[in-house]
Order: sequence, then C-alpha cells, then structure tokens
Amino acid sequence: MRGALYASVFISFIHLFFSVTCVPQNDYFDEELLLKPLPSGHVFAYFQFTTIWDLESEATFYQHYHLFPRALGEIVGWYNVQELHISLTAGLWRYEHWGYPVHDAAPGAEMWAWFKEDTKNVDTTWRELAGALSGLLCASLNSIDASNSLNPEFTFQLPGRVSSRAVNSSYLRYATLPREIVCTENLTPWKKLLPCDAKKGLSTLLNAGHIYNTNYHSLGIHLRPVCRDSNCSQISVELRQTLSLVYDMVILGIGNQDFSIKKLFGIGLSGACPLATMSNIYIDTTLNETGASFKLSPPPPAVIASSRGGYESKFAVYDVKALGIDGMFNIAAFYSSPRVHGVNLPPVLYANRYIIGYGQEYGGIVTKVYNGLWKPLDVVYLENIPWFIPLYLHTLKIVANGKEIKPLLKRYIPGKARTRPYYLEVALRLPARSTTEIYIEFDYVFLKWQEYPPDANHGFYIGAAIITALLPVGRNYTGLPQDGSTISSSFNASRDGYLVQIRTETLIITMPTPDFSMPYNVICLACTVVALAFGPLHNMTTKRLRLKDEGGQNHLISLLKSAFKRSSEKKEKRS
Amino acid sequence: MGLLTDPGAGHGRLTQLLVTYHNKLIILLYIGGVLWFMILAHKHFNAGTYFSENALLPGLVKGEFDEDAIAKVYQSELLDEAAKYPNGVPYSWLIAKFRQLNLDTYTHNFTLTYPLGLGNKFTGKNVYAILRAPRSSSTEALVLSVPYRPPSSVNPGTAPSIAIMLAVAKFFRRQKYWAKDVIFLVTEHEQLGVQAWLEAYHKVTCGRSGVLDHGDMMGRGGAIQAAINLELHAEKIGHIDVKIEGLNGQLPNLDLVNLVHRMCSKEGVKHTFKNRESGNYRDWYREWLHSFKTLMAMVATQASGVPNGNHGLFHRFGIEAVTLEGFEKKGKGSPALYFQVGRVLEGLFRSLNNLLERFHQSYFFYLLPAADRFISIGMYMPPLGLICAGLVIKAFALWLKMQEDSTKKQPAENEDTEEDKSKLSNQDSTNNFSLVPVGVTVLAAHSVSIVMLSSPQKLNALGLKFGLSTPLALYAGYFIMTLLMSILPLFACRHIGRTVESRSIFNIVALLELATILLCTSMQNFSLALLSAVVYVPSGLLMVPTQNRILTILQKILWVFLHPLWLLIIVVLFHTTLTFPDESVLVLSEMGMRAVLKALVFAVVDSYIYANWLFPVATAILLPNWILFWIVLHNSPYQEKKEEKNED
Repeated sequence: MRGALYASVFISFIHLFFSVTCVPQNDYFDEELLLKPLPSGHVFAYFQFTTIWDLESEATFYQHYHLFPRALGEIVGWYNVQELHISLTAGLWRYEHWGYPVHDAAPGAEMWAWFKEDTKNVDTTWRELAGALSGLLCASLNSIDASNSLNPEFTFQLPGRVSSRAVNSSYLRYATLPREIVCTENLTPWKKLLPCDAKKGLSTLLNAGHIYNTNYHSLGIHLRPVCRDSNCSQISVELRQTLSLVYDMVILGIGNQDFSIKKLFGIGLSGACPLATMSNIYIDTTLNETGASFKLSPPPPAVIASSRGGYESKFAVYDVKALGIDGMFNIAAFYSSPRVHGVNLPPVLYANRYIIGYGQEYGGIVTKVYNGLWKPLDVVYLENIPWFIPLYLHTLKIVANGKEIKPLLKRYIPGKARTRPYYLEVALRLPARSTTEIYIEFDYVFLKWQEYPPDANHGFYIGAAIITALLPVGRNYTGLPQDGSTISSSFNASRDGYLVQIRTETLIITMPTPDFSMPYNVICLACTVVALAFGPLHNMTTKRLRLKDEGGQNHLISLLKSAFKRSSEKKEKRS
Repeated sequence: MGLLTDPGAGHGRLTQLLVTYHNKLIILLYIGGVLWFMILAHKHFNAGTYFSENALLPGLVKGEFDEDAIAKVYQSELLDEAAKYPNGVPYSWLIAKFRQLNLDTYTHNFTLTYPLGLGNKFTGKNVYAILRAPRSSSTEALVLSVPYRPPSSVNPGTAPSIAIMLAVAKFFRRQKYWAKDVIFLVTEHEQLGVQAWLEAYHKVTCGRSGVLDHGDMMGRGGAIQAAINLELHAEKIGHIDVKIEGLNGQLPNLDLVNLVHRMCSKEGVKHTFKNRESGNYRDWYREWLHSFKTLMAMVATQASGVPNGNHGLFHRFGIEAVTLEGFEKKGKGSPALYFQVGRVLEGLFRSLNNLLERFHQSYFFYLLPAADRFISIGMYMPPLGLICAGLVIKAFALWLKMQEDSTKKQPAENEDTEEDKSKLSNQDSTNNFSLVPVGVTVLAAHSVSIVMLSSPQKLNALGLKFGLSTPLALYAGYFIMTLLMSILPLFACRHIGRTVESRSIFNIVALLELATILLCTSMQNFSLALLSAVVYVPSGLLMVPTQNRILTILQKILWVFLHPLWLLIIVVLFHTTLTFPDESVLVLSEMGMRAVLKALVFAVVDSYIYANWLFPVATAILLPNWILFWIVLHNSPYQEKKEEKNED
C-alpha cells in the first residue's frame, strides 16, 4: 500500500518535472568561476551565478517562478524595486595591490536600490525593503533608514540603466553599514537563492570553513533590468549572485604558491548544476607571460585570448558540463619556480582614506586619490558621513600635486542629528599623474548615552567613500561590461570607458566616550551634594537674617548659653 | 556649609585658632604629606597589579613562535650590512627583507630644521612595513617599532631587535588570526624619527611649525591601538626592562604594562622595572627602602617630562606604548634567547589583537614602586594635597590677619551697631589696599616671563652676531634677563608698598598662585608637581618679609637658588654626580658644566620639536611666581606689627 503511494508520488513528481521543463523556458541560469592569481601573491576567486528572466510584459514580473528565487522575487515585486544591489563584505579590497575587482564593495554591508517611478513614499518603502531583506539574508540591514541613507545624484547614475530618459535620483537610496560582520549565517540564505542550492554545481565549493579563511570575502546580490535587444523593446530581469574571495597563499600555502580548487575550497568539484545553461571555470593565465609561470593540471580544454582596452589577457576555460565528471574533479596550478614578488604596479586609479589629528577636539578626513594616467581623469567623489560627525563644508580643500583645484560640481546637504547623514558629492578633474588630497574637517560631539554601542570604546565607523570614474584603459580591469551579464561577456569587450567605483577604507574614530560606570558615580555625588546643600539653602531662603549684638565674645558658647537660657526660661514659664 | 549661611564666619573660634597656630599646622601638614607619600612605597600601602581588561586574555594560548633560527641569520646579515653604513641605515637591506616577507613596505622621509644654532637641516628616513590583517579592513593597527642605531651611535646597538622583529614579522605573516594590521617600524635618529612618523601618520605638527617637517607617507593601517618599542642590545638577554614614562610624564595604560610583565614571566624572561629586580627582604625597612628607591626613580624620570624611550611619543596620540629594553646577559644563569623573546612578542601581539575596545579599563595615572605593585591616583594625590594645603592655609591666615588688623584699627567708639561696624570695616579694607598695583605687578611679572619664553630663537640669533655658541647665548641672555628681573621689585615696591595690606595681598596672591600651579601641574605630571612642591612649598612659605637683616639675606640667597635656571644647573650637576659616581671631582665638574650647557638647549629644542612642556612651564608659569615671591621679599615688613612678626 505504502509502496504504491510512494510510486504514485514519484510518478507524479516525474510528471511534474517534465511538465515544468516542457513549459517554454523563459529564464536561464549560468554559473561561472573565475580564478585569478594576483601579482601580490594572492589568488582571487570570483563566483557568479546569473539568472536572466525574460518576460513578455512588466505585468507578469514576479508572478510565476522557475529558476529565479521566489523569496527574493516577491520582496522585489512587493516593494516596487527596479534595481537592487546588496553586498556583504568582510575585509578590504586592496586596489593598490590587487587591481580592480569584478564588483566593488565597501567593507560591511552596502545596499542601494532604485525604485520604480510610481512609488509613493520612497523613504518608507526603502526602510521596509531593508527590513524584508534583513530577514532574507540574516544581516542587520533593518537598521537602514532615512538617518543613514543618501540619494546621490551622480555616483549611481551609470550602471544598470535601461532607459536613457533623465533619471530622478529621488527614487534612489544608498546606505552602508560599515560595522556589519559577515559570516556563514549570511552565506546560507544566499546559497538558498540559487536554483541548485549548494547541492550541485559550483556552489558546492562554497564551504564556510574554507571561504571564511580569506583576506577578502564579499557576497553580492545584484538585480537589474536589462535590454533584450539593441532597441530595448523588451526588458529582462537579470539577477547576479556574486561571491568574491581573495586567498592569501602565504597563509594558505605551505611555502609555495601552488593553488588548486581543492586547496582553496577544501573539496573537489562533482559536476555542474543540471539547471545551468552554462557552467564554466576560467583561470586567468596572463601572469604566466611575465615572471614565474604555472602549469595547469588537467590542461585546459580551451584558452581564450582577450583584448580589452588595449590590454591582453589569457584565460584557460574549463566547461564543467563538457568535462563529463565522474567522481571528484580538481584543477591545480603548479609553479615551476618560486614566485618572486616584484615591484608592485598599482592600477591607474586608486585611493586611500584616513583620519588626521589626535585628541577629541577636532579632526579631519583625508582621501588621497592617485591618478596614474597620462591624461586628466574625471571622477565623482561621494562622501558618506554619518550624522554624528558634523562636517564643515568651508574646510573642504582639494589639493592636487600641491596645487589647490576647484571641483567641477559640488552637491552638499548638511546632516541633521538623528535624521539625515551628511551628503557630499564632488565632481573633480584629476590632473594627469597626480595625487589629489580631498580634505575636510569635522568635530567630535557627544552623543546621548543610549546611542553608544555596547562596546563604546571600540569607536565609531565611518563608511567608505566612493570614487566613480570611467577609465579609458582596461589595465587591471576585470569588471563586466554594461551590456553583459556573464563573465564570458567580458572577454574581448572593448568599450569607450571602463566603469570603476572605488571604495575607500572604512574609518574608525574614537568619539568622546563617557565612562559608563559614571552614571552611578554621578547619581551618588549629585545626591550627596543635594542633601548637603538643601538644608542651608532652605534655611537661607526661608529665614530672615538679622544681625544681632552678641554681647559675648564667643560665638558658639554664647549660642549655647542663649539656648540654655531659652530652655530655662521656658521651664520657668511652664512652672 | 557654615560658610554659606553664617555671615559672621571668619571671626569664630576656629579661625582664631587657625590664625594663631597656622604655622604649626602647616609644618605638620607638610611633614605629614611627605611621610604619607614615602610610606606609599611600602607594600602594605599600595596594591598588587591586576588585569582590568578581560578581552586581553593574556597568555591563554600556547606560544608557537619558532623562527628563532632565522633571527640569528638576520642578525649576522644585518651586522655585515650595517658595517657598510657606519652613519646611516641600510635601507635597501631592510626594504628587501620586508618585501621578501610579502609585506606592504613603505619609506617615510622627514626633515628637521634645527631651531637654534645655524638652523641646519637634517634629514631622516624611516622604513616601515604593514602586515595587512586578513580578518579586518584595516581599521585598527598595532605597532612594533625599533630605533635603528648605526655602529657609530653612542647608544648601545639595537641590531638584535631588528633581527627579532624580522623573524617575528615572518612568523606573523603566516598567521590567519590577525584582526589588526601590524606595523613594523624601523626609525632613524632615535626619538626624532618616531615623532616625525607619528606626526606624518596623523598629519599634524605637534611642535613649532617649521621645525620638524614630518613629510608625507603612503601606507596607513587605521587607528593605532598600541605600540611596543623594542630595544634589545644583545642576542642573549639577561633581563628585559620595561620602560613606561612618556613625554610630559604621560604613562601608558596600566593594563599594557601588566601585560608585558605577565608575558615575560610566562616565557621565563627576567623582567624588571627601572632596572631593579623586586627585592625580597625580611626586614620591612629594607624592603620599603628598595621599593622607595624604585618609586623615586620613576618619579625622577616622569618629572623630567622627557620620554625614556621611543614609546613615550606615542602616548600623546592616544596610543598606549611601552619600551622593552633587553640587556645582555652577564655572569651565570641561562639567558633569554630569540626563542623566548619571540614568544613574548607573539604573546603580546596576540593579546593586543584580542582587544575589542581601546585600552580604557585600567589606570592611566599611577606610580609603580615595583614591577607588580602600583599606587593609584587616589592614593598619591592626598599627600600632594596636604603639602599644597600649607600654601592655601598660609594665604587664608594672612587674609584673616589682615582683616583683623583692619578691624582692630577701628576706633573703639564705633560700637553702636554691628551693621555700622561691618560697613565701616568694609570701607576700610577697600581704602587700605587697592588691587590695581597688585594686578599690574602680577601682569608685569607674567609678561616678562612670556618674553623669556619666546626669546630663545632671538637670543640665538643675537648670540650668533656676537660669535657666541647657542648654549652660551641662551645662558647669557637668560642671565641678563634674570638680573633685569631682580630689579623689578624696585618699581613694584613703589607701587604696592603704599599700604601694608597691599603687600599682604601680594603675598597672598603669590602663595595662591603657587598652590594653583602645583595642583594643576599634578593633573598633568604628578611627579613634577610633587618634586616642585617639596622644594617650593616650604621655601615659598618662608618668603615672608622680616625685619631681621640676616634672615632677609638668607631668604634672598635661598630664593635665588630656587630660580628655575639655577635649579636646572643644580639638578643637572647632581644628576651627573649620581650617574658617574666614580669620576674625580675635576672630571665631574667638567662633565657637569657640559651637561649644564646642553640641558637648557635640550629643554628649549624639546619644547620646539616635541612640544615638551618643561621649558614653557618653567619659564611661563614657575618663573613669574618666582618673581612674585622675589618682590614679596623686597617688601618691608609691617612696621606696626613688628613684635608679632618676630614671634613667628
């Protein structure tokens, strides 16, 4: 009886499965992994899981799900979101040594979204969206509200726009939580959004025990509308789930630079996700041309030479689907000779940020932007300062190579305590081969005592600034083109400009912090003072003072005497 | 609270008693204060150190450092390399070593324009490497610094510390637990290098602008939480001395000091404070004496305000720092080798890495009578309070006496009502003294000292014209100014000397100012305040005008010797004698004179480069007070109250 039931369930499942696959597919799923040995001796691993959902009309968006994660789709549909980017990052991307990542992300949590233009109350919707996503990703995104959100005018204009109509930044919200700590509780829900979960395919490589031993770790969810054709007559929804990892081979390797899938992820690959259209592994072998070279084992089935923005690179491509994996599969890179770390060649544009000054009177923030290009470069600088750090706009000074320069554009909205952060966006033209210092002063203020975090003496975080630029050259550039969705689309993708959005360091500042055992001391002291002062003050205010001839020389004794007299008089009277 | 309500206070019995017995009371308080402070060195009167910050988790993990063999290689390589640069730093070797370890390596240039002399320019270069923490985004950092000393340096060499630093860097680089960047810093020109590096890191100028050009730097690692300065003089270490006293007497958090001692004892490295081992005597007196000497050694160093190691310059920036100075093992016994020292450093940095908050839990104000005992601010402030109370009591007594005198002078017939009497006495007191001449004199004294404070560079320039060397020019200038200053009473007395009360008021102002100076200084640099109080309080109290000629002359001689300039000379000579007890008197006097000449220049230059307060405090605060008392001495005493004075 029971067996029959199981059989029928199984048959109906099979039926269902086939019926689903029989429905004309309108979404595709691609999984890709890019491994790139960096010149600094680190290895950059970038996973990208791309789902593209073609829909006939906007009305049918987020209705019937196939590969697109329903949990996310419902939130996005409900809150009228047009474009959404979330990143949860631990560690700092070191542009100076590592070049550019595929996706720039600030340390901690970062989130920005464009809402559709029929959204009524953007601030409320934004807060509710953050709350919903916080539940979805187990991150404290719920602390995002108007008091730490910006709507920058220029910085987020460029990526992901399908229409060329003028955009209104009032439908944009951007917020960072630099203090957010990213760990496996964020990874698990993120993996659940994948069609194959972590059961099959490249996502099986994501074992928390290994990928959290990295120097940089960034989870991302990027949702945007894309054009299906050049006329943009039809729109698709593109969801990219990304994971960037940077491994330090000095820590990981035992005295050598060799890396392999097994060494990096602790496990071999068992095969592709059956739902994926494409399942590829790319290994950047460009560094093989210079310096110590490595050999790949097994040898790559295909090698792609890519020319981008005047720079050539080579990728070994493994098509996991075509490999016909039986059991576990591993790709290893062996160096023929130990690698010597030569002089670092920093990328064209990078930046550093730091706090200056000491003590808690006043301080300043300096952002140093390096432009290594032979020609001037236009950048947009977005400052992201929380409300508890009052900035002084008049102290804004931009000095390039020792000469003060004027910004091309400047947008500033002063912050307001507890309701609005400081918003400063500056468009600059960096001179050729220059170091530009953007300097602004701030004050240290006292907060209300409940506003201090539990570890008050740890300090307060200032989120990363963003420097946006369109680079004319593709050196060290790994990002995807605007019109592409997969890593494969970035090969031989020469464009007019290469968009980078550099995130600077987050900063930590020590605010004037009260001694939190102080309230108790203050209460004790205040009570004592009140008790001591009350009596005399009461006397002074209620009694009239009159000077009296004492007669006697001695104050105290005469007082006592008079008291005695009075009492004896009373006694006499009584008697 | 009686003062609040009783308008008749001040004429009571208590005040009478105070006026009568204040001298005895003051002597009692002074002796009580000094004894109290001295007794604090005994272990019954101070407390054992303890860890306040739980997050440090000191020494909970087993040490894993095992790169001691490579440290020896580094050392021999460095010694070979150093021999090629007898006066410089082997930059290329250092940079190459750091680069080999795959650390972010940077250099930092700085320039010093010597504020005195011919204004020569000196350049220096620091090398530092940053180990980027895998577990954080460069928001916080720790520093391990070593001053590089070329073979020609007069100070004992530090090559072993660079060797162990590199070995430790190599070990640290392979660990994955770092949550704070570790900065390995090799500085040139001793304290100058560290100061320039810190100024560049924070992009501020602490001293006078145009003196130390801190230059610019490329790599940074967030807010620095703590720093360890390493000065090992040998490969085989006999003991490690923990140095804590920083610039202007600032101290590191006691937790950090405890941590160092704890890690040393965990790894079996002999550790000391002030190069004095903890004595183990059965005799309480000898035990006390031992602790007291340690305590006084600390007080003396702290009072000078000059850091006794490179750690001292970090404190200003809110960075807790100590110096670990390792001395060569002499005699029998097993020395501490690179292995142990490396483990100590590993333990220290792992503990610091554990810190979630900056150091804030434990004491910032303390005195150490031994490595493991401390006297907290609550214990050592009362003695100073007692000592300084004498000044306030004296001032109060003088005031009361003045009031009394004025009321006594009232004709006896004014007896009708109390109100009239008080009115009259008020009128009287306003008639008898005017604050204007007193104020003008005080202002003049302070202005003179401000001139002196700002004169060194001008004196130097003037000296150059006359072909005098900088120290001579400064001394000559200050000597002349002091002579001019001693004439000030001639003018001042004419103004103040009109009434008896004005003189009295002047004395009160001088006393109160001295008390304020001492108590304010104690907030910043307790040791300086204590030593000054011990010297200046009794002498200040003695500076009461008398009729006795001999006494007056004695007073004046004493006060002249307490002039800050003289005091400096005396202290330096005394110090020279203490440091070189074996030298003959002739050699000593010559060395002493040289030291004296240098001392003033150093004080001035330190205040220009590092913003050391000692020179400004001595010239701008102590000196005017000295002048005030000097004027007091030149006031003729009350003619009317001759008998009473003599009684005192």
